[in-house]
Amino acid sequence: MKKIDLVNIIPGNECNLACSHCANESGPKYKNTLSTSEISNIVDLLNRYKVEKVIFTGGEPTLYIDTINDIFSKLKYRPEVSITTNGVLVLEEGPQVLDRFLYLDHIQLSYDPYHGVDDIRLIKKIKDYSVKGDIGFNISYCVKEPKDLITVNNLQQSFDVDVIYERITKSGRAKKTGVHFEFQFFEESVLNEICPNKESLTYIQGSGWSHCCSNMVFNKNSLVTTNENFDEFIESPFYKNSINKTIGEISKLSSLDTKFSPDDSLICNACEKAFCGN
Amino acid sequence: MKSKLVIALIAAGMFSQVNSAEVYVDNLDEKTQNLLLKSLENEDIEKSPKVALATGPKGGREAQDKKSNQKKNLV
Repeated sequence: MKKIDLVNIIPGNECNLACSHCANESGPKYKNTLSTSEISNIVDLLNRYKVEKVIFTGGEPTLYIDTINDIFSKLKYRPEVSITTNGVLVLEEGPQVLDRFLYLDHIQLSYDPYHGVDDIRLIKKIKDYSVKGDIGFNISYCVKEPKDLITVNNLQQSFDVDVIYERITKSGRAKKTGVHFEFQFFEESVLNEICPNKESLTYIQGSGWSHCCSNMVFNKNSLVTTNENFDEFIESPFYKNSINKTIGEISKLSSLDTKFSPDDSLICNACEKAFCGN
Repeated sequence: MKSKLVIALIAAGMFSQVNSAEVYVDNLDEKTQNLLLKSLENEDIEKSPKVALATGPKGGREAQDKKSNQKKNLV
């Protein structure tokens, strides 16, 4: 890999919410965090590639500020830093909690009905904080069905803020709870798609590096989809096939006689089916 | 209105096939169809990108890209 555009870091699964659509089943019961060797591993890769954009998610990144700052303190350059937060700590303790991040250039507020935090004061608080500190701000909204876009539009209009939306895949808790985007028909065009994460990486606490950030790493399967050693990971069949072959080609390669269902119209769902079968 | 809404849903990245969008629209009451079409025809939502898979369900790439344009000279 010559270039890495973006690294997404999951420092652990601890979260102050346990959302029904959470892609990696985070929640309050988890207390896992990056070990010293994992931090060194991340720092080495960031320094080696001078990755420009680093995003911290989770779990909830505001519960991992010390760990995140530990990474920053070891970097030999200054990346552009973003967090994706549910904002609960901002509601409870005030936006000054965000001052504790050594670097912070962008806040993405994960806000939708599936979080169970229906408090629009949160949006205003973070927006005010971002304007005051000249920090980027947007809302990320998970869509279970298209009519959720009515709310997306209302949020954009009411708060004059960018709201980006995504369809919920059958990853993690979403797969178990059924809170995911549903289709009536299998849209075959997905068979011609290729995973777009060729130059993006995710580090998952306790697992290691992967370009996958959804079903294949968060739903239990028998394939090796992560590796603590980045150089070994990019030589893995999973990585090579995933970024070079279409979903249809992967499906043929795996020879599993896969039957795609309507919900496999989303590439992450189809990818899992192509690699792992029904 | 139905065909307009079908096209708008595909343009918004909700479906890639017409029959998927049509079935969805058929199951909505008229009031919701109107509201949804109005929302989708809003210029802002058309500009609003879908989240890239690069950061998956946690989102963020487009937001980051937008911020890059305004990025200050850091350190």
